[in-house]
Amino acid sequence: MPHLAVAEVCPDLALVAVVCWALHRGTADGAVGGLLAGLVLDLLSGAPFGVHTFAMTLAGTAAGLAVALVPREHAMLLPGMAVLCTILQQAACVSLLRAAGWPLGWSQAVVVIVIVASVLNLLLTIILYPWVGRLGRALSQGESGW
Amino acid sequence: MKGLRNWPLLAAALVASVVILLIGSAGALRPADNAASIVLVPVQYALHRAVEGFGNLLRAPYDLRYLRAENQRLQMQVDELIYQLALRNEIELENAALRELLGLRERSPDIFGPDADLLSAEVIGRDPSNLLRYLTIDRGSRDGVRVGMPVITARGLVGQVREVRGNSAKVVLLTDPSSAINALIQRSRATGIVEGQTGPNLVLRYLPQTEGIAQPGDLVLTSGLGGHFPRRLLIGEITEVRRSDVDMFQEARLRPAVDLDALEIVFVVRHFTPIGVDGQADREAAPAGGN
Repeated sequence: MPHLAVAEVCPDLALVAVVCWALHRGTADGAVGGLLAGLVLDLLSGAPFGVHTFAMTLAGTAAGLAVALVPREHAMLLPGMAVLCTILQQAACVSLLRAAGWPLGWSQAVVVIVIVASVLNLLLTIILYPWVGRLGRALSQGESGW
Repeated sequence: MKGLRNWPLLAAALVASVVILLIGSAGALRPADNAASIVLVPVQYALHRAVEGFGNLLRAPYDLRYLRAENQRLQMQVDELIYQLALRNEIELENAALRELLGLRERSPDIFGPDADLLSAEVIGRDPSNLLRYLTIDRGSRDGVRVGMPVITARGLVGQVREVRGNSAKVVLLTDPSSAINALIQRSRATGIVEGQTGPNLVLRYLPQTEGIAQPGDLVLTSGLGGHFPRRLLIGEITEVRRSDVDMFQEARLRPAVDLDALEIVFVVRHFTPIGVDGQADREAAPAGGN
């Protein structure tokens, strides 16, 4: 989403979709959503294959676990998970890229990217969350109809 | 014969018409005609418009079906023309980019060597991650693209092919943290290594501590050392120099010459003459991994 970039940092639509999906559907669905989204990202990215798959599955699982631990109505659940999952996913990516030989560290530039991405993802999560909920309900009705 | 009661008037009118005819045919009434037309023409125009408008109003129901069909046909024609115009503009832009590159080759034949082989490619994707800087181009191994080939525009160096598929390739940009290129400062001829950072800028490292060898505004080019890139390709412009007495080297921050966020068409250098190798030794671009 380069058109929504702030300070060269873009919001991560895939991550936001996975977090919203996990918050609505729980841990297993969150993990599967993260896995599928990560696979797509790995196909598009120059990063070693599997980096995004792992990071997104982790984020999906974490968001799903949060719903199991915190009541869904809790005001801080949505913003908290948007920010935490962004940090978790970015940390996983940086760690895996470092392990693959990328000269990435927790430099000031990377920290700025994570902070800006967290804010952008938080805003996008607030917008996307109800729509993903509707999609989830529509799919559930479809499944029960079968 | 009641009508003939007013025969004097009738006769006067007939006589007058004949007289006017005679005088008019002799041209004697032209000044009066001209004078009258000054007043009459606007009135005539207004009347004509009014009558025409009224006529159109009466015809409107009959025209409606025809107009709808005509409107639909014209709309399709407009859509087609807009598409063709957009296509033509795209072709013009592509032509401009190719002409610019041709100009670069003609101006500087020694950059690529005599038998250089450049392949144009369209940018079809960017890395979705904020941490890495990659492009995906629409040319791959089927077009002769190989890992390690330099990628340029007429403005300067873009990066290097890092991964090749059948019909696409991934290009690591100069600004990616894993990118490292041998470079020299044009003014002072000092050499160093340009490295990508997490962000839009580059850093030129390993410059000797000599004062004044790097200044803001200096241009930085590829040195060609290592043979992975053609020499004298523009990399960027120094924006800031960081020098400390306790460090072994000084560093400079660079702004890339190419706007890497707005790339649409790039060129893959499939063959060039590496530095220090004569024309007979033209070779395929070197393998990946910076130089």
